[in-house]
Amino acid sequence: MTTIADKQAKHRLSLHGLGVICALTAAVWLGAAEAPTKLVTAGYSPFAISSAMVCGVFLSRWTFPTLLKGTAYVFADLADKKHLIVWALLAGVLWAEGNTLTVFAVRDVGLAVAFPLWNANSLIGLLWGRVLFCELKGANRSNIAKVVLGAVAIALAAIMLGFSTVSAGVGQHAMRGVIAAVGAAFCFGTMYVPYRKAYLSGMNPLSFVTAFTVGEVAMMLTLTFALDHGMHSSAVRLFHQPGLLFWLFLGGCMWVVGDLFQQFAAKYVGIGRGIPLSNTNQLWGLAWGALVFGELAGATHERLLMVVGGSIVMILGALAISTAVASDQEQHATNEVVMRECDRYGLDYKKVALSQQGDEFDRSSSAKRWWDYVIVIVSTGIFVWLGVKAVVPPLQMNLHWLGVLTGLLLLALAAGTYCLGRRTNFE
Amino acid sequence: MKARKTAAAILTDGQFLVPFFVAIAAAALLIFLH
Repeated sequence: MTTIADKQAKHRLSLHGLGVICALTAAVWLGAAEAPTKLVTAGYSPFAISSAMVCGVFLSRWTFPTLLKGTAYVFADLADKKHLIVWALLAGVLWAEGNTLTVFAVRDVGLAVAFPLWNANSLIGLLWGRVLFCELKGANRSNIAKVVLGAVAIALAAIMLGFSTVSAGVGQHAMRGVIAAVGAAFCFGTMYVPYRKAYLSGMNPLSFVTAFTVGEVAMMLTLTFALDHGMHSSAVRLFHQPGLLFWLFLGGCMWVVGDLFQQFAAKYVGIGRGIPLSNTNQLWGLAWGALVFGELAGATHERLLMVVGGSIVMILGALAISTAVASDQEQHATNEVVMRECDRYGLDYKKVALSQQGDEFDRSSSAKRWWDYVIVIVSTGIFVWLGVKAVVPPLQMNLHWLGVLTGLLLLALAAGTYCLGRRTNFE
Repeated sequence: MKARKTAAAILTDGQFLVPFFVAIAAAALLIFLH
């Protein structure tokens, strides 16, 4: 006889399914977030562009995410696992460095080519997932084959894209751009180590992102002042131009949305699977670069073939990895890692194990306080103020495709938010 | 005492040292590219 509880459990979205949805939603938003870095051609240094984006990220963290979980919840969660604050700050530093490297790469080899290259970060993430978090330990042959073949496909695709860059002779510093993109891949691949660490310890992604954004703002400002002529940096000039600043803040805002979904993906499917899946953002990056900004217009047939072929191979590899659903033995290995964390840092195993399932013991601190609404109003107000002063960047854009891709962004956001809220209440 | 114990646990944790050294290497690369 089937009980109501059984029926509910049967119709409940699996955590693997939820992780996949989160990763795909992340892909749509992360792909769109890179488009504003095109502004680097408008005469601002990579540091200026990154600084503005990071400030947009920081500000966006305090807009709608505050409505999901209030400050009381977030700070209680951070206080409960203080040691993870260091990891979150470090992840923020890695992101700031990686993002600055991507801007160097975009400037030297273009968005459509640099973007797929730094998406080789999935290989790095896969490596750290296996070595540091015992992902794939005890996995069956089919899963191992999917992951290994997927990883090889991604590596081959990265090489194809690298060759397409050099043969196309994009810019005077193509090799420097490739090195920057590979460096970004290392930063973005390693950045997931703290992510996974936090979620194996039961931290909420929204709490992690809070400390993370502090780390990235601090690192980005340090990089700008240390390497970009200090107070004479073009960042200072950029911050006096709200009309342009809006677009970079918007990029930062899109990045926060994508990253939040990516954090939940890392929590529910691990980094070995989560990163490749969210790396389908390459498709969206290419779509924005080619359809909205006309980046591939006038490209040779060979170059187009390299870029498109490399992208397809990379995505197929990512798909093979992401369809490898963790077996019981693999989940057992993950559980051992969780126990190690609890033992090392004195965490409550029962609480942490519940959190892995998207449930939490104490939801009383989730209530919003009056100051949460003040924070949201102020941060959103700054966005509105910048938006009112916004001017269309001096770039040629296809408005038809801009509308289509924006519609898809909103659709993905609605689907992802609904699934996450319904299944785990954003936990 | 608890803070010191936590600090020791972090600094001997390979899961911390890996991103820590990558962050340093990336900073060096940025200086080189700059």
